[in-house]
Amino acid sequence: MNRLRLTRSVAIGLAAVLLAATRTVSGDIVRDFRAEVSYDDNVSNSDRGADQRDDFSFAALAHVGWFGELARNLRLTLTADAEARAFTEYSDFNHIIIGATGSLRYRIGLGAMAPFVRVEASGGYANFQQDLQDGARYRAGLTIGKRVIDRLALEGSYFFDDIGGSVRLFDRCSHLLAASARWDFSEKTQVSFDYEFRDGAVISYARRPRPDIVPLVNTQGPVETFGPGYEAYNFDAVTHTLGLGVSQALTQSLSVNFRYEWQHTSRAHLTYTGNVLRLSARASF
Amino acid sequence: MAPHRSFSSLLVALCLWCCCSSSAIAAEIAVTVRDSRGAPVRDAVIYALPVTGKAPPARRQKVEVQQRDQQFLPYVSVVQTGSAVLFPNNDDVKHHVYSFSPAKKFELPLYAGTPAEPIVFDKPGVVTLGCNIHDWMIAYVLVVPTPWFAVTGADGAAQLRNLPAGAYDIEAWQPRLRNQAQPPRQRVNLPAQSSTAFQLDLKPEVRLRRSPTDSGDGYR
Repeated sequence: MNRLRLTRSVAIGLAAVLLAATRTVSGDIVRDFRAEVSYDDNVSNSDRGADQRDDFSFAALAHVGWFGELARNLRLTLTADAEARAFTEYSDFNHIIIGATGSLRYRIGLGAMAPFVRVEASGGYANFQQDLQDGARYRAGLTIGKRVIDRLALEGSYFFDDIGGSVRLFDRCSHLLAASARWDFSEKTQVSFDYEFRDGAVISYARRPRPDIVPLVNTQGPVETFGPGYEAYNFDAVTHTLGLGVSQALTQSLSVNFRYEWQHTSRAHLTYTGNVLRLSARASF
Repeated sequence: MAPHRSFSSLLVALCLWCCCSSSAIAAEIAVTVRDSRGAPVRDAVIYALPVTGKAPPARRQKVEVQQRDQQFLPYVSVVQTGSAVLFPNNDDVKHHVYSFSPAKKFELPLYAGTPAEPIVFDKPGVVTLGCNIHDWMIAYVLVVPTPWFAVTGADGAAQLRNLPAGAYDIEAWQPRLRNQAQPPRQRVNLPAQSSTAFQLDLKPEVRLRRSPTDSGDGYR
């Protein structure tokens, strides 16, 4: 309940800043939309093949807001964010997230080649079909980036994630370090490669009994998302993610994007991997 | 007797003007520009430099590089050294136009409408324009020490007009030209020659992308 109040406060605060900022500084409107279909071959985060479950999901995301210059090199971006995601098989994961994001970007110099530092914070509330997973979520972090040459842009970032559930089993905090490179083959075709290191709580589903996992867990509980006999285990682990993406511009404001992610999570003897494919259309006005 | 004398004087003056003013006859030359594969090159600047090195000073003319739909228009402009250029913003968002180019460094911080004062381009060379708000916005102004210039259209053709007869070095420049330090040059004699052609060695075009990407939005 405290999380819910905090989320509301953050949302109201951001809205107030947005109104104040747009009254004093003119800027551009942000209207970003994304429709996505994705496939995850291990949506259950299971280490044993027999427990692994795969699924497709369909999502629609929107970020609507404003960005403007507070000073010569300082940009403020404020958006209201919404995400709806539905899974074809495991509907417990279906959810709607409403939130807000604020970021400040400082450019050391002018123009596209200038390095930048961006601090960012977001908050939201997720409503899942399975009520146990409902809760507020926050993210805060910092990104540094530089376009090295016309075709190549590099970014590095740190984020702290705090995802809450209505029961402790679904509470997760994690620290995340990421690096990415984007290469423009042409004005229309872009390839990206990224690596992410995440250290924090994960939720893995496995059929009971799993005495080998029990000593590792923060908390656990019976959750029948994947059928009777499954237990959800919340434990701290390290996840490495490698991502490869291709983005093709269709028009100035529309693109199609394909992304592949390989995820490897481990804690002591326990290891699971996942492969995620995402196909999305993005529109930005 | 007096009217007869003045008629003779007029006749002599006319003969002298005809003999001496062949260099004042306005000539023109058609130029075509193609790339190494033979395709027409648009947005190539063609300009004629008199071999004598004497070109008339810049004329007062209204030159504008507009911002419309978050793009510069035109993409390539050419002006004579000393020309003043206005940068009207026709969008309903502000722009922050800048150039780091040695030929003209300037900055027009966040503005809407048309800045009161134009920017004077007082040194020859290439001036690359950008917008600090919208990274994909790019345009070029080529500053040349001559009033005789033109920009090719989609057909790769341009016409240089109203040149006094004489010898000229004609140069061709394009933003993607591989050898920016030494644009290709051809010597022509006008009005004897009425056309010429260039073949340019161009780099692939790399302009910053405007379309949304899946892997971050660095410009925001």
